[in-house]
This record gives sequence, structure tokens and C-alpha cells, in this order.
Amino acid sequence: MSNSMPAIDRRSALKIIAAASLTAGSACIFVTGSAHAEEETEETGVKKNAPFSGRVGFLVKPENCLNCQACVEACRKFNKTSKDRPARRKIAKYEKDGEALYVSMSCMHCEEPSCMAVCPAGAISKAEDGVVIVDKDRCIGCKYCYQACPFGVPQYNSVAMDKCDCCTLGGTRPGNMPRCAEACKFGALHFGTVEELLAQCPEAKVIETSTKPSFYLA
Amino acid sequence: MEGLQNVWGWQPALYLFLGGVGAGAFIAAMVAYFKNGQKKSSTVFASVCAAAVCLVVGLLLLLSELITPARGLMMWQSFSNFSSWMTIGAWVVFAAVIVFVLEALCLWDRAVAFVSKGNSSFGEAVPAMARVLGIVGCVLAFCVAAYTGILLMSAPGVPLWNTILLPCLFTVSALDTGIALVEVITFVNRKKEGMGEATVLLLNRGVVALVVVELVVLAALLISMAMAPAGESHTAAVAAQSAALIFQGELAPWFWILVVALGLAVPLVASFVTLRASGEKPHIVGLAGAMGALIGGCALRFIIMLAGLHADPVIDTIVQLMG
Ligand code: SF4
Ligand code: SF4
Ligand code: SF4
Repeated sequence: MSNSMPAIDRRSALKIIAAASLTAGSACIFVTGSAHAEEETEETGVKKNAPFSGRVGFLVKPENCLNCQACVEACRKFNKTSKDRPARRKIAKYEKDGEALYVSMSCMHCEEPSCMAVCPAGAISKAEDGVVIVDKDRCIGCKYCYQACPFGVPQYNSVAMDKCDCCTLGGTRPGNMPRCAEACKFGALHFGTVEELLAQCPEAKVIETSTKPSFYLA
Repeated sequence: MEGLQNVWGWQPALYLFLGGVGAGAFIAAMVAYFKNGQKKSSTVFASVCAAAVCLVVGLLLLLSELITPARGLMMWQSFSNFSSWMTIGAWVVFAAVIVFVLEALCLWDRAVAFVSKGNSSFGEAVPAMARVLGIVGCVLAFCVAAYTGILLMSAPGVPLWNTILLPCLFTVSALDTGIALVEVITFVNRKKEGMGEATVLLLNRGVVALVVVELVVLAALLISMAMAPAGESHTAAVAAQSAALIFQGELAPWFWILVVALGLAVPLVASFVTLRASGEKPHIVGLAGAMGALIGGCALRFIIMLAGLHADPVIDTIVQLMG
């Protein structure tokens, strides 16, 4: 652990967990997204003509987040997540000394994904653009990926593991704006290449864990 | 059971237990076999069969927990990524089952008589085969025992599991529950056949040594978790939380009664009693110790599984942001 990290006492850390898991649970109830197919053109809101290169990721600015759940709903709708399943994105609430921060979270498309390493079926792969995707026809549903992911991201439906794929399997071109980031009107959730995100917000902090997530907080 | 690990249910916990018992029982049976000068023994034969059954049932449980068990059965595809311990383990268990079954056949008079009917040279080769299979089987069994812990160890998100102490604990527990299973079989088979005084002595000494080692490893695991500097990172806080669940929280009654009292103390005392009253015929006290060890070993897998809480590394960054 780095020494520069301010000490948190155990009780406040535990309070944070409690709050985080509470929000994760309530997010499912909150969402009313419909599961029916939607005719959306590929070009909606994408960065036009952007030839794609680099590794993609998310930048989240919790102080801008109002917990409006628009990103979660947009994700549910586009990826047709059924109502009885958790969405691929969730808003976690972190609380310390009465101050609350909301963080929109989904797969962090890690540089060294532990989910991919432990998947016995080889169903998880990392595309050239850095997006970590699951092959639903290969997944056997052993749930080892959930145990291995430091963020507990993988979820399961009746067919296979389900998690954020940056909307690419739904038809969004690699590197183009996914629905959740597009839906955020308050500048709390940004998508782009790691270079773009860091250029936009040089002070952003990366999450320190062994899998090297492509996820920044500012 | 809120606030406990619940993504993996009872099947994986039982799989880890059965994998361990099966592996341990094979090793214990082979110790008895070699110690007794490789004499034919219905107890050894039954123990090897029981070991194979444990592994097969374990594999079936693992399959039943999958979302698509039918796809899981196509092992060449579903267990094809060898960077995964689940893949390596599944194949090692599979190989162990085959070797255990072959060993059982070598130790089974009727099978040997049937195969060597028209071919007497085959019959002569059987003891050598039994020896080789016994040794290969022991190596595989040891790998299976260690793997049951390594499977959990390779989950970086779960601090209680993500330590080398876990495979150590599960391996020791596998050996000691394996001996227990052989003891139970010996007891059931006592009218037909005794175990041989030297073997009884050896296995009971083994139990004493293993229980002591298990106590040390278990204490090291839980104390290292409980003493993790909870203020420094959320991972450490969750490690401490997992240990607290086991020591004094929701899982504590199960831990102290089933794991510590029944699973460790009872077998230890029983082995001392048996060692003093040593003889060919197994004692009822030995049976009690063995049953305690089996229950304790099973409870241990469930408790470790349930207490495997996920850490959230995002919290540490949030704490930095909040200043
Ligand atoms: S966040 Fe989890 S699921 Fe996503 S790539 Fe990283 S390890 Fe895999
Ligand atoms: S649940 Fe599917 S994707 Fe996850 S590790 Fe198992 S087989 Fe791989
Ligand atoms: S990128 Fe797409 S799949 Fe991923 S969370 Fe956003 S909307 Fe959902």
C-alpha cells in the first residue's frame, strides 16, 4: 500500500462498504428500463470519422454525479438486459463523514484482466482496442470470473456471463461512444482512449490493483 | 446469510471437500498398502474405490453448479484455457479418477482373475502395475489436494482466499480427512479384516501430526487476516472482516464447534487413545475421531467459502479523492 494514502479507520471503511453494497442492491429496483429491441442507428452520438487506435477506458467524476441513473438505464435499454437481472453498470454510493459520492461503475477493461486469466473455457478475450469481451457461446457459467475480478463485475443471466463490452457486441464500433457515457448529461461519465482521458483530466487517479484497470477517477 | 459470499453456493464447497477427502483417502490407502507389504486387502480396495467415488461426485457437483452443464461436459473445450487453475484442476482430477479406478481394478481379485484368464503373464504383471499406479496416484492425489486450495487462492479480489496459506490448509486437511475416511472404512470392515498394528500406529501418528500442523496453519491464516492493517486499505479491512466473521461473527459457532472441536480436538484425543490401546482391531473411539474429522473438514470448506468477501479497491481511491 502506498504511504501517501491517508489512513481510514476500520469503522469508516466498513461504513463505506455497507453503503456501496446497499446502492448496488437498490440500483436494480430503481431501474425501469424496458427490454424490448430499439431501432438505433450505429452513428448515434459517436465521434464521427474517428479512426480508432489505442486502449479505451472510462473516466468518472463523482462530484458531478447526481445518481440520476441515466447511464444505467441507457445501458439496460441498449443491451436489452432483462428486468430481473442486474444491469451491466451500477452506481455505487460511497459515504464518509456524512459526505456522499456516487461512482458509475462497470467493467474496467483491465490491461491484465484476471477474469480472462481464470476463465477455464477461454471465453473471455481482450480485443485490440482493449475491450474485454465474453463469448457467450463458449462460457460455461462457472462464475470463476466473478471471484477473480477485483471489482466483482461479472454478472450472470440464464445463458452465460454478462458484463460491459463497451457496447461493441451490440453494434457500436470499437472506440465509438457507448450508450452510458452518451447518456450522462452532467459530465460525470466519460469514455475514450486512455490517452484522451488523461489529456482531458491529467490529475485523474488510477485504481491501484494487480489487474491494471482502465478506469480513472477525478 | 446476508453479508456472506453467495455467488458460489454449496456445490463448489462440497466439491472442494470431496476432492480433498478423495485425494487424502487414496494416499492413506496407499500408505496402508505399502506398509502392509502390498498384501491383498479388502480395506485398501474399498478405500481406493471410495476415493474415486469422492472425486467423481465432486466433479458432478462442479458440473451441476454451471449455468450450462452440458457445455461443461465437453471438457476439451470448456477446460481449454491452461492459464486457469480451474482448467488444470479439472484435468488433474480427471486423470486422478482414471488412475484410482485402474488401481482399484488391480487390487480387485475378480477383475484380475477375469483379465488374466487366458493370459497368465498379465496376471504376473499386476502387482507391479498396482505399485506404479499407486505411486502415480499419490502424486496426482497430492496435486488434487493442493489444487482445491489454489483454486480459491487465485481469486485476487478475495483477501481471505488470496494467500498461499489456503492451499497449505486445504492440503493438510485433505490428508487428515482422507485418513479419517480410511479409518471409517476400516471400522466398517473390521469383522473381515484388521489393519495391521503397525499401520494403525502409523495412521494415528499421522493424524496427530496433521492436526497439529493444521492448527498452526489455520491459526496463521486467521491471525494474519485479523491483524491485516485495516486502516491502510480496503483489502486489508475486508481481510479483517472475513476473519472476524469466522472468529466471532455469524460463522463463529460453526467454526468453533464443528471445525475446532469436532474436526481437530476430537480426532486428536481419539488418536492418542487409539495409540495407547493399540491393537489390530479399530476402536470405537477411533471411529468417533474419524467422523469428527470428516465433519470438521467439510465445515471448514463451507466456512472458508462463505467468509470469502470481496474487497473493493475503488474505495481506496475514493478515500484519496475525499482527502
Ligand atoms: S474489471 Fe473485472 S471483469 Fe472487467 S476486465 Fe477487469 S477483471 Fe475483467
Ligand atoms: S463464467 Fe463463463 S466467462 Fe466466467 S470464467 Fe466461467 S466460463 Fe469464463
Ligand atoms: S459501455 Fe455499453 S455495455 Fe458498457 S456499461 Fe456502458 S452502455 Fe453498458
